[in-house]
Amino acid sequence: MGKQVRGLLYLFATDSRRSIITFWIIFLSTMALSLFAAALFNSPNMRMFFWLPMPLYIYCGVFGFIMAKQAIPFSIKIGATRKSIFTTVILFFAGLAVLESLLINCVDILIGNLVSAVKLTSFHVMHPFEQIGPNWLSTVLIDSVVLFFLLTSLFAFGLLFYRYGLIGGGSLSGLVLVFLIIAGGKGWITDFGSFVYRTLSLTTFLYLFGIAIIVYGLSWLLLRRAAISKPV
Amino acid sequence: MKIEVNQLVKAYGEKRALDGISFAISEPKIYGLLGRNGAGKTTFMEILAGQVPETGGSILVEGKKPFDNQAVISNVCLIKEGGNFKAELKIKQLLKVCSFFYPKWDQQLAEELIQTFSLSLNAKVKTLSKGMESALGITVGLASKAPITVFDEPYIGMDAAARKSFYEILLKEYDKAPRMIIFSTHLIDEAALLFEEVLIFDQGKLVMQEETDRLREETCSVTGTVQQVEAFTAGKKVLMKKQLAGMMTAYVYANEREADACGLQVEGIPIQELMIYLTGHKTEEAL
Repeated sequence: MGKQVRGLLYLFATDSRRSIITFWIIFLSTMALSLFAAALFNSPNMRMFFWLPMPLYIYCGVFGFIMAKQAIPFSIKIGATRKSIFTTVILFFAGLAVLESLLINCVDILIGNLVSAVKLTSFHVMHPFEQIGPNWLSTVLIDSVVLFFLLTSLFAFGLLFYRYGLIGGGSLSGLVLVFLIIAGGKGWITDFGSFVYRTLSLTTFLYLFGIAIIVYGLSWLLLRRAAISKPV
Repeated sequence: MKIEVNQLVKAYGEKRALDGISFAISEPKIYGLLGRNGAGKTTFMEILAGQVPETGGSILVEGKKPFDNQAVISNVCLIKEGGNFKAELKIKQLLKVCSFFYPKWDQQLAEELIQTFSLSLNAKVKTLSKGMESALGITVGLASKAPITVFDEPYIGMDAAARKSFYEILLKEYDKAPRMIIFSTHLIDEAALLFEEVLIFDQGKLVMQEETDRLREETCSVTGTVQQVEAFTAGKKVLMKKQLAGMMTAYVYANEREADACGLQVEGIPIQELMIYLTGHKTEEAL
């Protein structure tokens, strides 16, 4: 299995490189353009806020979802076992989450230093969980966990579509949507959100990591009998 | 390597792509897997390669089930008519990926074949024409040196010269390292001489498994007057009869010498014709 895992890691890394580079080029270009615009219109009355990791969160969610559809059929065709795929995907996601988190937090530092150096008071880089990260390393850890959670959970969701098609995946999406509407109407979501916000700490992300592992573990039920394309 | 298929069933909803197929093959030979569209050939090959699970019955390779079994699937390389590879990969990357999965992978042969088919190692799969992608599939299939190599219409888009080249390379490689090659094609006339044994599928069932030499010995096309042919074919299994201006031609299970002795004009039946009449439900019984 070791050789298969190495082969799959090479395959996933090679195949994803273009997509990842494209994202970073667009992301950094947008940042540069925003910085330029902020510098151009720099005034005490203007504020420009940039939630730095948000685009990356969205990208990783989409990446995880697409991975289910793109990586599994070819991996099976080339002769990988489902166990090898299952093992490699989680290793790849963990590596990708850490790498992307490191990159985004390096960009955060760079932009922070640049903004200070040029005294750009109108441009503010924000982090959704900045109040709980005592230092740079903890922010890297938090982002890694969030990205890992998004990658694995959306992969599991994508796997549902892969196995059961639009009907299966769409039905579950519909159920989730109905639940969200009901939960929103009854105020459960806001209650839960404020509870999480009040109790937000590094431990919360430990739980999130645990949930990611459980969700990914459950995805094995979908993967273990996955075929190349036709529903089984 | 021994493949034992026992009452193999694959159903997609109500439809049975494979309907209780049983046979066994064990020798390193070139097998022709023939049949009309929808006969179940591709489904069988996908099950053999562990890509899809069977619905019922069993398929065993050296006594083991192929589905999700690394011991089996590392010995099986299935190349289909298209969609074999990831479009974003470069050829050299693809060859590297393959080297991780096929224990007997021959990188040197792969690079030789890449040159033979005038492909560039730096070209991306998505930039290849249909014929070039087929050539890449053939390269991977042959360089895998998998003890069970399966080609399912591997040369879509390849011109006649490239196909001829493929047949020659296939025979050369088979001669150097005999293995079980299962070859499915609709260009039967072209590939017929390669086959050492033929399996014909029809509507999910196996209708014939025979060595080609024996097939040539046991079947023939006879032509003569209607009376002569009727007399000769009486009591024999007839695949097809056609009559024109008092003359009759029949495809019959009979020895050529026996037919010759009866004064009939005798010819061999092309495998393609055999396939057509075996799967076209035009046997005398059916008529």
